Amino acid sequence: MTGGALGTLASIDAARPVFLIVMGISLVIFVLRLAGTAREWSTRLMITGSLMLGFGYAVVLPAYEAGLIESIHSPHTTNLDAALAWHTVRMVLMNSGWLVFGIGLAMHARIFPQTVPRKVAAAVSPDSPTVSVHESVV
Amino acid sequence: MSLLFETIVKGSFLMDCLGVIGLGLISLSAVRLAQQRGSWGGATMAAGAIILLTARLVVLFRNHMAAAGVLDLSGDPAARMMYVLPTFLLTIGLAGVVWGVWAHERWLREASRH
Repeated sequence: MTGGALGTLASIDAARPVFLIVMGISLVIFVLRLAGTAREWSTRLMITGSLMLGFGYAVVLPAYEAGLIESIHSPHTTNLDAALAWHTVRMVLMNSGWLVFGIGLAMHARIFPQTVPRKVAAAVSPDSPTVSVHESVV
Repeated sequence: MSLLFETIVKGSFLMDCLGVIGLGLISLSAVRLAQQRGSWGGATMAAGAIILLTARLVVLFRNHMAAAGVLDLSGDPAARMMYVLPTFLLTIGLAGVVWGVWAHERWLREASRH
Protein backbone atom coordinates (compact mmCIF):
# COMPACT_ATOMS: atom_id res chain seq x y z
CA MET A 1 0.00 0.00 0.00
CA THR A 2 2.64 2.47 1.07
CA GLY A 3 4.82 1.47 -1.86
CA GLY A 4 1.95 2.16 -4.22
CA ALA A 5 1.25 5.59 -2.77
CA LEU A 6 4.93 6.52 -2.77
CA GLY A 7 5.25 5.24 -6.30
CA THR A 8 2.45 7.45 -7.47
CA LEU A 9 4.00 10.43 -5.73
CA ALA A 10 7.51 9.89 -7.03
CA SER A 11 6.50 8.99 -10.56
CA ILE A 12 4.76 12.24 -11.39
CA ASP A 13 6.77 12.78 -14.52
CA ALA A 14 6.41 16.52 -14.81
CA ALA A 15 6.77 17.45 -11.15
CA ARG A 16 10.19 16.02 -10.35
CA PRO A 17 12.24 17.79 -13.06
CA VAL A 18 10.57 21.10 -12.22
CA PHE A 19 11.32 20.52 -8.54
CA LEU A 20 14.95 19.71 -9.39
CA ILE A 21 15.31 22.85 -11.51
CA VAL A 22 13.84 25.02 -8.75
CA MET A 23 16.06 23.41 -6.10
CA GLY A 24 19.24 23.70 -8.21
CA ILE A 25 18.69 27.36 -8.98
CA SER A 26 17.69 28.26 -5.44
CA LEU A 27 20.76 26.46 -4.05
CA VAL A 28 22.99 28.66 -6.21
CA ILE A 29 21.08 31.80 -5.22
CA PHE A 30 21.18 31.04 -1.48
CA VAL A 31 24.89 30.25 -1.56
CA LEU A 32 25.60 33.45 -3.48
CA ARG A 33 23.64 35.43 -0.87
CA LEU A 34 25.48 33.59 1.88
CA ALA A 35 28.78 34.42 0.20
CA GLY A 36 27.88 38.09 0.01
CA THR A 37 28.89 38.48 3.63
CA ALA A 38 32.49 37.31 3.31
CA ARG A 39 35.31 36.93 0.79
CA GLU A 40 37.19 33.84 1.80
CA TRP A 41 38.30 30.54 0.35
CA SER A 42 35.40 28.76 2.02
CA THR A 43 32.87 30.89 0.18
CA ARG A 44 34.71 30.47 -3.12
CA LEU A 45 34.64 26.70 -2.71
CA MET A 46 30.97 26.80 -1.75
CA ILE A 47 30.12 28.90 -4.80
CA THR A 48 32.04 26.54 -7.10
CA GLY A 49 30.37 23.48 -5.61
CA SER A 50 26.91 24.99 -5.72
CA LEU A 51 27.39 26.07 -9.34
CA MET A 52 28.37 22.51 -10.28
CA LEU A 53 25.42 21.09 -8.35
CA GLY A 54 23.08 23.72 -9.74
CA PHE A 55 24.10 22.89 -13.31
CA GLY A 56 23.75 19.19 -12.58
CA TYR A 57 20.34 19.47 -10.95
CA ALA A 58 18.88 22.21 -13.13
CA VAL A 59 20.18 21.14 -16.57
CA VAL A 60 21.60 17.62 -16.74
CA LEU A 61 19.11 15.63 -14.65
CA PRO A 62 15.98 17.23 -16.19
CA ALA A 63 17.50 16.60 -19.62
CA TYR A 64 17.78 12.93 -18.69
CA GLU A 65 14.18 12.88 -17.51
CA ALA A 66 13.00 14.65 -20.64
CA GLY A 67 14.74 12.08 -22.80
CA LEU A 68 17.10 14.59 -24.41
CA ILE A 69 20.06 12.51 -23.20
CA GLU A 70 20.10 8.75 -23.56
CA SER A 71 21.01 6.70 -20.52
CA ILE A 72 23.76 4.11 -20.88
CA HIS A 73 21.60 1.63 -18.99
CA SER A 74 18.77 1.82 -21.51
CA PRO A 75 18.81 -0.97 -24.12
CA HIS A 76 17.57 1.40 -26.84
CA THR A 77 20.61 3.64 -26.74
CA THR A 78 21.74 4.42 -30.27
CA ASN A 79 24.68 6.76 -29.71
CA LEU A 80 26.76 5.08 -27.04
CA ASP A 81 29.60 7.61 -27.15
CA ALA A 82 27.35 10.55 -26.41
CA ALA A 83 25.57 8.60 -23.69
CA LEU A 84 28.92 7.73 -22.12
CA ALA A 85 30.13 11.31 -22.29
CA TRP A 86 26.96 12.61 -20.64
CA HIS A 87 27.16 9.90 -18.01
CA THR A 88 30.72 11.03 -17.25
CA VAL A 89 29.63 14.65 -17.07
CA ARG A 90 26.81 13.72 -14.70
CA MET A 91 28.99 11.61 -12.41
CA VAL A 92 31.75 14.23 -12.23
CA LEU A 93 29.34 17.14 -11.73
CA MET A 94 27.18 15.57 -9.03
CA ASN A 95 29.90 13.87 -7.01
CA SER A 96 32.64 16.49 -7.12
CA GLY A 97 29.99 19.17 -6.72
CA TRP A 98 28.99 17.66 -3.39
CA LEU A 99 32.65 17.21 -2.45
CA VAL A 100 33.63 20.83 -3.20
CA PHE A 101 30.47 22.17 -1.55
CA GLY A 102 31.11 19.98 1.47
CA ILE A 103 34.71 21.16 1.83
CA GLY A 104 33.58 24.77 1.53
CA LEU A 105 30.87 24.28 4.14
CA ALA A 106 33.31 22.50 6.45
CA MET A 107 35.72 25.42 6.19
CA HIS A 108 32.81 27.79 6.79
CA ALA A 109 31.89 25.84 9.94
CA ARG A 110 35.57 25.87 11.02
CA ILE A 111 35.91 22.11 11.21
CA PHE A 112 39.48 22.17 10.01
CA PRO A 113 42.05 23.73 12.34
CA GLN A 114 42.73 27.18 11.01
CA THR A 115 46.11 28.81 10.72
CA VAL A 116 46.50 32.31 12.03
CA PRO A 117 45.91 34.90 9.29
CA ARG A 118 49.03 36.79 8.25
CA LYS A 119 47.72 40.18 9.29
CA VAL A 120 47.04 39.02 12.82
CA ALA A 121 50.39 37.31 13.01
CA ALA A 122 52.13 40.51 11.89
CA ALA A 123 50.17 42.64 14.34
CA VAL A 124 51.09 40.36 17.20
CA SER A 125 54.81 40.27 16.59
CA PRO A 126 56.97 37.68 18.36
CA ASP A 127 58.98 40.31 20.23
CA SER A 128 55.87 41.84 21.72
CA PRO A 129 56.33 41.77 25.49
CA THR A 130 52.80 40.78 26.45
CA VAL A 131 51.81 38.13 23.95
CA SER A 132 54.07 35.20 23.22
CA VAL A 133 54.17 33.36 19.91
CA HIS A 134 52.55 30.37 21.49
CA GLU A 135 49.52 32.33 22.57
CA SER A 136 49.11 33.98 19.18
CA VAL A 137 48.96 30.57 17.57
CA VAL A 138 46.30 29.44 19.99
CA MET B 1 36.03 2.77 -24.82
CA SER B 2 39.03 4.75 -23.79
CA LEU B 3 40.81 4.21 -20.52
CA LEU B 4 39.43 7.37 -18.97
CA PHE B 5 35.85 6.38 -19.67
CA GLU B 6 36.49 2.90 -18.40
CA THR B 7 37.88 4.26 -15.16
CA ILE B 8 34.96 6.60 -14.66
CA VAL B 9 32.08 4.39 -15.72
CA LYS B 10 33.12 0.95 -14.54
CA GLY B 11 34.95 2.24 -11.52
CA SER B 12 32.20 4.65 -10.59
CA PHE B 13 33.06 3.59 -7.08
CA LEU B 14 35.75 6.30 -7.18
CA MET B 15 33.33 9.09 -8.03
CA ASP B 16 30.79 7.74 -5.57
CA CYS B 17 33.45 7.91 -2.90
CA LEU B 18 34.01 11.60 -3.63
CA GLY B 19 30.28 12.24 -3.35
CA VAL B 20 29.97 10.29 -0.12
CA ILE B 21 32.94 12.14 1.41
CA GLY B 22 31.36 15.44 0.39
CA LEU B 23 28.00 14.52 1.89
CA GLY B 24 29.70 13.35 5.06
CA LEU B 25 31.57 16.64 5.32
CA ILE B 26 28.30 18.51 4.80
CA SER B 27 26.49 16.63 7.54
CA LEU B 28 29.45 16.97 9.90
CA SER B 29 29.80 20.70 9.38
CA ALA B 30 26.05 21.22 9.48
CA VAL B 31 25.88 19.53 12.87
CA ARG B 32 28.82 21.70 13.96
CA LEU B 33 27.00 24.84 12.79
CA ALA B 34 23.85 23.81 14.62
CA GLN B 35 25.81 23.13 17.80
CA GLN B 36 28.06 26.17 17.77
CA ARG B 37 25.66 28.91 16.85
CA GLY B 38 22.28 27.39 17.49
CA SER B 39 21.08 27.85 13.93
CA TRP B 40 18.33 25.35 13.15
CA GLY B 41 19.22 25.54 9.47
CA GLY B 42 22.25 23.44 10.29
CA ALA B 43 20.06 20.65 11.66
CA THR B 44 17.90 20.66 8.54
CA MET B 45 21.00 20.61 6.34
CA ALA B 46 22.42 17.68 8.28
CA ALA B 47 19.17 15.77 7.99
CA GLY B 48 19.10 16.40 4.25
CA ALA B 49 22.68 15.22 3.78
CA ILE B 50 22.02 12.08 5.83
CA ILE B 51 18.90 11.33 3.76
CA LEU B 52 20.97 11.71 0.57
CA LEU B 53 23.56 9.30 2.00
CA THR B 54 20.80 6.83 2.87
CA ALA B 55 19.51 7.00 -0.70
CA ARG B 56 22.97 6.10 -2.01
CA LEU B 57 23.13 3.20 0.43
CA VAL B 58 19.73 1.93 -0.72
CA VAL B 59 20.91 2.04 -4.35
CA LEU B 60 24.05 0.06 -3.49
CA PHE B 61 22.04 -2.45 -1.47
CA ARG B 62 19.48 -2.79 -4.26
CA ASN B 63 22.14 -3.75 -6.79
CA HIS B 64 23.38 -6.50 -4.50
CA MET B 65 19.84 -7.74 -3.90
CA ALA B 66 19.08 -7.72 -7.62
CA ALA B 67 22.26 -9.71 -8.25
CA ALA B 68 21.18 -12.22 -5.62
CA GLY B 69 17.82 -12.55 -7.34
CA VAL B 70 15.76 -11.34 -4.41
CA LEU B 71 14.06 -8.59 -6.40
CA ASP B 72 12.77 -10.85 -9.17
CA LEU B 73 9.23 -10.92 -7.84
CA SER B 74 7.56 -8.17 -9.83
CA GLY B 75 4.63 -6.62 -8.06
CA ASP B 76 6.05 -7.39 -4.67
CA PRO B 77 5.61 -4.21 -2.57
CA ALA B 78 9.06 -4.59 -0.99
CA ALA B 79 10.75 -4.93 -4.40
CA ARG B 80 8.77 -1.98 -5.72
CA MET B 81 9.74 0.00 -2.64
CA MET B 82 13.43 -0.58 -3.33
CA TYR B 83 13.05 1.12 -6.70
CA VAL B 84 10.84 3.98 -5.57
CA LEU B 85 12.51 4.78 -2.26
CA PRO B 86 15.85 6.17 -3.59
CA THR B 87 14.09 8.66 -5.87
CA PHE B 88 11.88 9.78 -3.02
CA LEU B 89 14.85 10.06 -0.62
CA LEU B 90 16.97 11.95 -3.17
CA THR B 91 14.17 14.48 -3.67
CA ILE B 92 13.53 14.98 0.05
CA GLY B 93 17.27 15.15 0.86
CA LEU B 94 17.96 17.80 -1.75
CA ALA B 95 15.05 19.83 -0.41
CA GLY B 96 16.46 19.46 3.11
CA VAL B 97 19.91 20.69 2.14
CA VAL B 98 18.58 23.66 0.18
CA TRP B 99 16.16 24.60 2.97
CA GLY B 100 19.01 24.36 5.48
CA VAL B 101 21.25 26.62 3.40
CA TRP B 102 18.42 29.15 3.13
CA ALA B 103 17.70 29.07 6.85
CA HIS B 104 21.37 29.39 7.73
CA GLU B 105 21.82 32.29 5.33
CA ARG B 106 18.84 34.10 6.82
CA TRP B 107 20.09 33.35 10.33
CA LEU B 108 23.54 34.80 9.50
CA ARG B 109 21.89 37.92 8.11
CA GLU B 110 19.78 38.34 11.25
CA ALA B 111 22.82 37.79 13.46
CA SER B 112 24.92 40.36 11.61
CA ARG B 113 22.14 42.93 11.83
CA HIS B 114 22.02 42.84 15.64
